This record gives sequence, structure tokens and C-alpha cells, in this order.
Amino acid sequence: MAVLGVFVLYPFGQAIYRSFTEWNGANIDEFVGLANYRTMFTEDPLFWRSIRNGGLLTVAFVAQSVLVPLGTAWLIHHLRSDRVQYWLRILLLVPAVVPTVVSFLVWSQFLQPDGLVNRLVGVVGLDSLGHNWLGDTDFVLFALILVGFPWLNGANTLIYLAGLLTIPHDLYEAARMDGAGRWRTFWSVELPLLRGQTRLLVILSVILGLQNYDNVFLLTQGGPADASVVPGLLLYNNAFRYGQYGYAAAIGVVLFVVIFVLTVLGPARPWRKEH
Amino acid sequence: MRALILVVLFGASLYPIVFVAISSLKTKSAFATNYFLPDRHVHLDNYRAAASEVLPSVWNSVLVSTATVALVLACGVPAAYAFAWRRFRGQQLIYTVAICTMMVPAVLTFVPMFVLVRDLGLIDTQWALVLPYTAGTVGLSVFLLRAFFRAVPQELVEAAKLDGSGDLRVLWHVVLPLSLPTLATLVTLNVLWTWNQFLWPLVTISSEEQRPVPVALAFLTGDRYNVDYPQLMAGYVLSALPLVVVLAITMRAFIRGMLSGALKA
Repeated sequence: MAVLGVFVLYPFGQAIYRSFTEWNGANIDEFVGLANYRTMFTEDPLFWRSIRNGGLLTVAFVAQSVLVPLGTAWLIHHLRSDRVQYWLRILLLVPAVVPTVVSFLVWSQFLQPDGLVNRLVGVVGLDSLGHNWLGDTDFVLFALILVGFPWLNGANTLIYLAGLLTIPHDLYEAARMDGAGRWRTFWSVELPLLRGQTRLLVILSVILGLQNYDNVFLLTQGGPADASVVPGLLLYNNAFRYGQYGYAAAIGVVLFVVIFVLTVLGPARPWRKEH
Repeated sequence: MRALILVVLFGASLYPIVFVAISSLKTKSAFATNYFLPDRHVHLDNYRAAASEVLPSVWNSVLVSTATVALVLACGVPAAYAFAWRRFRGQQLIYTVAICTMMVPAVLTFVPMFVLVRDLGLIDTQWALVLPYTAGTVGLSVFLLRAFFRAVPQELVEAAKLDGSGDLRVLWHVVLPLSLPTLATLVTLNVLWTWNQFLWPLVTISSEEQRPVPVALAFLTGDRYNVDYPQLMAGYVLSALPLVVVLAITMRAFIRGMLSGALKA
């Protein structure tokens, strides 16, 4: 608990206070009121671009980490063979042994001009679709979204599978008696009963997606020409490249407020159902 | 049709892993000429070269992950037990605060945390990783553990208490054995999470000998215009080995834990 206090609550308070200061982490330390926020909203052209990029990548990330696991779980759940189901569950976890940094680095190789993506495009005879994916301002965001294709997330799929397993057999029977096909059963029985799982995963991936910049950092460093800058990277650069700790803290506060509004005050409140 | 989709889906997901494994056994020239398929000659030198660069960082990461998991369990298990089966003053308040720490996004505390760790003189030590990681995951762990300890039938706990068992005995002999899949799930998630942290160690660890795996791998590329990909790939394989071991051990319990709804909404 003491650890929690020192390493969560203290930095949290500091983060908010420091966002109102001009601070380089050492000798320059001056209270400047809202100046950081004013600069951010009105003068820093990268800020709005980072918000737009971050928003776009987050929307894609949420879709990837909710829809693909939902579909996969559905496919696995309706397989007839229990043994195949068992083995697929294990296969779901295999990609987890790859450290995320490794998967980003490998994808960075894939997206090089002579990498796997362009070679595949070449194999099917569509050479003209080849690109310098990470070096082209028009394609860099698309390339970042493509990373990890087909975005199979083992843990999320297991969460959906857990939900599907709790659906009583009678409900499937009843749906069948009513003449509902697979598609109709999915929409009117399964999807509504998986609402809890969907909500959890949407919230988690919004939180992760908005903060994430490991991928951008490793693949593009925000480039080319700042075309792929995201809020997290902006924060990192301001703090650790330019020594603008106060300004970086202000970016963190804005991100926190956005996450807070989207998850806590938004329609979805995951912990409410706990009691 | 559905089976076909599954085959393609899993195939495409697993191919990068196969790709890395095959490439790690090629020579540099074989990698350039024969990109997709395995080479006839198995070339183990890549591993010899990569091992000296990657293994020390693998060891660092093993230490950090082990210490973090040990600390999280040492703090989290008794706390979760107390929240689940004891009543004390201020319980609700303390629990709420502990849970709220989960909501503080890492990106917000990144900079102040760095300054704090620096001022504590922990920069470039493994403590700079272990302590923040512990603080970052203990909230969620307590939350999950409490839910699972609560799921142990009340009669069992009361019966054990009537037999004169103290809290420690109840925890050790009744509650914990019944929560093993959850514990395995938690440990696995924790190990994966600590193993994958990249940006935090990047700023807090400066010397080469102290680097954890992700940072070491990111620096491995070396000469940007003449990258030795097969050797890199060998390094990637080595970096994943401890995770293979952890997952192989906990896999069944992990799947059981997840399927029984360890992370229920």
C-alpha cells in the first residue's frame, strides 16, 4: 500500500501540479498558470495532428481488438469437435510468447521497401501497389494500422469464449425452434449476452489505444515529417528530448481527461456491476 | 467455409513466428535470395553471435519479472484476503483508493514518475523497474484476487475458522488452493506485462548491462543500412524463450482461469 502511495498517488498529484509550471525537471521551476495549455491548444501545430492521428489509430485499435476476437471466438465456439476447440485455444496463446517489441520490429522489417508486404504484393502481380509504407506521409498511418495483421488477440478471444460458454443451451434450442438461423441467433441471442465482455474490451482498448505509442516509437518515430505523431510520442519528445517537463505533464493531463471522459463518464461503467 | 476462415486466420497469425524462426537459421545471403522459405543449410552461427548480446538482458528481465510478481503476490494476496473475508475500519475507503489507482493512466504519471525515481537515486538500477511495475499492477491484482477469494464458498471458510484455524491457515489451506487457476492467470498476465514494457526502461535504464530484453532488442539493429536480419531474428527467438517456458507451465491453468471468467465484466 505504501508502494502504491509513493509510486501512483504522488506522481498523479505531481503530474497535475506540474502541468501548470514551466519545469525542466531540475533548476527551472516556475508557476505559469494555464500557459502550457494555451500553447498546446493554440500554438503547437503538432498537438492537433497528434490528437487526430491518435484518435484514428485508437478507433482502428478498438475495432481490431474487439471485432476480430469476437469473430474468432464465435467461429471456435461453433466448431463441433471439442478436441479441435481445445487445440485452437492453445494456439491462441502461442503468439503471446512473442515480446511486443519483437512483433513491432518484425513488422518494421515486413514494411520495408524490400520487406514481406511488398514481396507478397509482388507475388500476386500487383507490383504497382507496393510502397515505401513507413516512408510515405500518405501511407504511414495505414501501415501502422496494418501492423499485427490479422490482429488475433488471444486473451480477448478467450474472454469472448468464456462469455459464449455461459450461454445456456436452452436459449440456442429456443432460437432454433423459432426458426432463427445462425446469423439471427448471433444478433439476437449471442451478441446481447456478450454485452458485458464487449464493454470491458472496448474500454480497455480505448485506454490502451489512446496511450499507446510503442508502435509509433519503434516504427516511425512519428515521421516521416511528423505525419504519424501521436499524443504519447509528443509527450515523450517534449520531456526527454526538449526537457519541457511541465509541458509534457500538461499533455498527459489532457490525455487523462480524454480517457476519463470516454471511460468513466461515458455510457460504459465496467465496475458498476461489481456489487 | 468457417473452418477455412479459421485456418487462414491462425495461419496468418502464426506465420510471422515461423518466419522469424526460419530466418534465424539462414545466412545473410540466403535471407536476401530466399525470403519466404526455409534454407537447406541450417546455420547456427546467428545464435552464437546473438546469444552474447541478448542473453544478459534476458537475465535482467527474468529478475525484474520474478521480483515484480513476487512483490505483487506478497502485497496483493494478503490484502485481497483481508478485503474479501475480514471487516475492518475504513475498509471501503481503502479499497476504493486501491481500485482507483488502476484508473490512473501510465502516460500521465510517466514524467513525474521518472523524476521521482531519479530523485530517489534509482536510475539505472533494477529497482527503477520493479517498484513502479509493482505499483502499476497491484491494484488490478487485488481487484481480481478479491473477486476470486469471494467466490470460495463461505461455508468452507467458516468451517475452517470454527476448527480454530487462523486467517493465515485459512488463506493457505482453503482459499489459495481453490484459487490456483486465477493465480496462474494473474502471474502469467503480470509476467507478460512486465516483459513487454519498453518505453519506461528505455528512459530509466541507461547502461547496457542493465537493459531488459525489449530495450536491448531495440538497440540490436545497429547499422541501419546494413542490418543483419538473420542474426536479429536469432536474438528475437532467444528473447522469447523464457515466455515460452512460463506459458508452457501455466497455459492450462491460464486458459481455465480465463474461460471461467477471471476477467469478467
